[in-house]
Amino acid sequence: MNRAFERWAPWAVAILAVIVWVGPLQTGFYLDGQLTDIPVYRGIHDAIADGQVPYRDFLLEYPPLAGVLFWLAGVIPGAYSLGFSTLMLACLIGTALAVMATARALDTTPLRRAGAGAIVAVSPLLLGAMVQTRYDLLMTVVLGWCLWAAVTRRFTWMWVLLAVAVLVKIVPLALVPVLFVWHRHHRGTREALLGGAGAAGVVAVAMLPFVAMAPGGTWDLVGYHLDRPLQIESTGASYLLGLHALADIPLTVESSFGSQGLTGRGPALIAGLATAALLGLLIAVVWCLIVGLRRSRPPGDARLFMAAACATVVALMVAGKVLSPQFLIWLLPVALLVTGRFGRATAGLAIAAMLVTLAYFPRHYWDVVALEPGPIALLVLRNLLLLALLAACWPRPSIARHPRGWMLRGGSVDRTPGERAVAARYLTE
Amino acid sequence: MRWFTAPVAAVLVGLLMALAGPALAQPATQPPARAVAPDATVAGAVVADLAEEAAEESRRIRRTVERAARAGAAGAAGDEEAEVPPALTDGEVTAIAETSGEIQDWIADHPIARTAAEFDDEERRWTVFFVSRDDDGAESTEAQALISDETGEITEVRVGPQVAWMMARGYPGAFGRAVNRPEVWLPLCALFLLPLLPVTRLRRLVSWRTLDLLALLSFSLSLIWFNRGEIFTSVPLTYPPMIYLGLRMAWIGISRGRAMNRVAEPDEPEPRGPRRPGVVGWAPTWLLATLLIVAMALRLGLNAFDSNVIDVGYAGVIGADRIGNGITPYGTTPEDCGSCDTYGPLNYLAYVPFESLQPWTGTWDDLPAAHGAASMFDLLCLAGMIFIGWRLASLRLGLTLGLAWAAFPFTAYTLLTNSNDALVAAGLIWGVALLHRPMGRGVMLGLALATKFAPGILLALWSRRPFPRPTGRRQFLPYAGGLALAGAGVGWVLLLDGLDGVRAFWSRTIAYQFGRESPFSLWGQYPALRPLQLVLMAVVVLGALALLRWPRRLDMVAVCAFSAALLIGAQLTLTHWFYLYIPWFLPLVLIAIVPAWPAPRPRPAPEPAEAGPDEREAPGPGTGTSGAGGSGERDAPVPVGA
Repeated sequence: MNRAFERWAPWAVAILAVIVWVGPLQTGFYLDGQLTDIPVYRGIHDAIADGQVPYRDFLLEYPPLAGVLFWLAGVIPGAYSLGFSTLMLACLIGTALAVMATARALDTTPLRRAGAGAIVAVSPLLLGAMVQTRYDLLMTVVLGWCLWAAVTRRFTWMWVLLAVAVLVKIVPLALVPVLFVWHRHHRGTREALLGGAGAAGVVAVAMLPFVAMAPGGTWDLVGYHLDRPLQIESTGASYLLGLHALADIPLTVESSFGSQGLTGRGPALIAGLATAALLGLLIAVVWCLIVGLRRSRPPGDARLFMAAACATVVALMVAGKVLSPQFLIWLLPVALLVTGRFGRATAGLAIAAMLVTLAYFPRHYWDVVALEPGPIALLVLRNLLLLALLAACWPRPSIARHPRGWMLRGGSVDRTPGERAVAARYLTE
Repeated sequence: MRWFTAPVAAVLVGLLMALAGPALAQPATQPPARAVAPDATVAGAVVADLAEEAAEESRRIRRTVERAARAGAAGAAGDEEAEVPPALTDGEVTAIAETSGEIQDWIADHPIARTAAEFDDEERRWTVFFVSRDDDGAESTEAQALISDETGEITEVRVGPQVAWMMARGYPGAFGRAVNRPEVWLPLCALFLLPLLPVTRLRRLVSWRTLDLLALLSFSLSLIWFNRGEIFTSVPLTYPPMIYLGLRMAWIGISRGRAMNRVAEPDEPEPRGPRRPGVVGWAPTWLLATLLIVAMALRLGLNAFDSNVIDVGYAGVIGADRIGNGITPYGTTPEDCGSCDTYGPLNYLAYVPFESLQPWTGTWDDLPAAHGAASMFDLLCLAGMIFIGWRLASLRLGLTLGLAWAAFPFTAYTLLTNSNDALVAAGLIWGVALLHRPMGRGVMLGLALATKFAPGILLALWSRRPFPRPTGRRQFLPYAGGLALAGAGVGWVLLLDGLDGVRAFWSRTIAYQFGRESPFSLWGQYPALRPLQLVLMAVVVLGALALLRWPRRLDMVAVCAFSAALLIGAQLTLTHWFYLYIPWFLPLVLIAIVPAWPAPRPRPAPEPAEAGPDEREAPGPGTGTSGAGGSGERDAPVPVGA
């Protein structure tokens, strides 16, 4: 039965994702009042279809592979939004399969793999319609398979997929130190350096034509994100919003860069502090991974690596100066695979953060912008949950020693076949 | 006595929660509700009110029309600089002012000799003065009413001390701004109280410790009336908790001193139980750390974005500017901060780094240097509390003490007014942290004393060795050396202008404080109590001197408890007392009551041959606090930083 279950589980998860996508996700609860980026994507498609070159002829705030996706969505017959939604459904299924494959590589039971995959499949119900109006699922599917390649020690694939992920969205760049440490732990510094250089080469080759044609426009890709103000949903902004709700501190909300942000000296200071905190957190994650890997052995080291990857992603969310609701999609390939004492808490906190986000976005988003106390409380709660999530998934050395967490183990301690044999002998004797 | 503490605690909690919520947000000055004639029917009263409102409206329209006509006439004359004359006359505004119930109540007890009206052309506002005259013919203003010339409405009423003292007027947020809001104050109270109480073990909840913590929070009741501008209610309400805490601290010190001085019976077993202090609260370390981060984020955020700088912080910035320019701060302060040079030299020196980063602009503006300095003082206190708890027992106790400091609303009040009082507390906290080092505690006490003079009451007590274990070294000289070191480290500020600076220091600080008058104490409000104040002062000073010799044995708890008692006693006798002074004694009270201190150990029974007539302690092993045979070094309560 286990073998049959294992064989059919990926299909079942894929079918579940399709059912969720075409069923509940298309109902009024999820579609009413949604805020969509589809017109932006369609505009990019139209520009590319007209023969214009990104970065030279028009501003593309995303890396080039995102432009390929936007173009591809228009090539699919039918309405643009339908084509884009279909692509995102494929990405969701791909992410679910990546999570299951990674869970399998971490030596889990089929039931638990299926559980993790099923949560990813139903995640549109937790996240809302933004999964089909934002392109972040493309990044998660690439990132998910990149982590799978890392856990299974296919390091060439790992670096190639990381390069692809970076060409989809810049954010996975933050994972480079973690992947480097992981590669170095297994194959040594030289190979890790070569891998990283290879990934950089892939990115450089992809970007080179655009840099040659329009150096200024390509730099805008980076400058656009550096110049953004403190976005209203970021952790730093929610701190100020909380103070506003409590003490009426003066805040100015301004629409720019396609979102709403806080302007003024205070928010600028907080944004600077958040950036410094982000750097500190990323360094701390890598340091903890290095220390933890020294004392761990397989498969504990892979669990520690997965926790470090999750902590890096969550740190980007909580300490970044932008925290758009679609960023929670990034949790899918990492948060359900954290093990150890707080593995259950990590998954629970990730799901809770998604649900709280759904509670205010998109229906009450403009109430947040209007500085209404109720939605601000929800926003503050969501960001506190993310902070707790960061603490829960922190790559502490005990993760490498501890039995697998809730997502990867049941009520009893999960053992390798060899350990099971020893336990069985003692039990029988 | 537990049967007694439970109902008292319940009553205090009930009072606090019931009163603090609605009242903290009360507007500053509210005119008393208009009384309805007992024989008037409700309908009649409504009709009368409507008629009165209509008449008032017609008067207002008439005044506006007249004012417009005068302005038009002035403009027609071609005189663009001509001032628009007021719409109301002296007689009219005086009549309006006399309708104020608050003024009527006040002048009923304080007969007035005359009234006067003054018009402020810029503000378009009248001020009506109600002036009394004493037997010598000296006049003083008993009440003021501010009246809008445009609407003819009373915008503000000041009676008694409110006339001279702006801080008695209850302007909303004048001290600390948003921290006075119930939605900030009450969560801070909960954040302070709940982690410190054993809420999971109800039987242990009923204790003196609970009552002590509630007494600390009960200063909030007084603040409610202070924020309303009713200082004749707020001031008396500060005395019960201060008297309670003072007596309680004295009792803790006395009882520990007596217990330590008791000679153990020859066959008495060594006391059992932990020798390190424990934590009574229920919160685990991670939760304490989280709550501490939340409390500090709230305090520092409010300080950065919603706080004000009172004259105390302004004084520090001005003094730092003066020192930076090579002149003494004493006698050189600007007119808008006339008494700003009344503090010790460290108060000005401590602001120098912040003032050099954000120089003073010459006006009483946002003063970022004062914000930075106040935040630094607060962080020094927090670090000291965590350090003490950590070294005494564990990180958990350190975080507990740190949270107690960070969540206590009056420390937030001090921070958000950006005053210098946390600097005094920082000196005392780090003095306790270095209590086992005579020079260290001398330096720290000297620094606290160089900020404000009240810690001087601790000079005698802190000269003693604070641990019962014997030592062969003399400790007074290092202690005095520490005091001298602190004095030399900051005293050079007085010499910046030569001997003139020293003379100015004396006249502007000590002499000023002795002659100070203030309505913020019972002694200031009721001058007839002056003899009682002097008696109390003498008692406190005698108590401070008595502690030079008695009790014969001290430990850290006793030192902290006695220090708190002395500081509270000194504050009880002050003519000018304010809530910002609570943080001076708060750390000492917290160290005495928050940890679960092990019971004091009696003196070991002396050997028959060694027992002298006065059982005086002798240096050497075996004379520690624990049973016979134990090393004094090991058995004494753990010194901080040892």
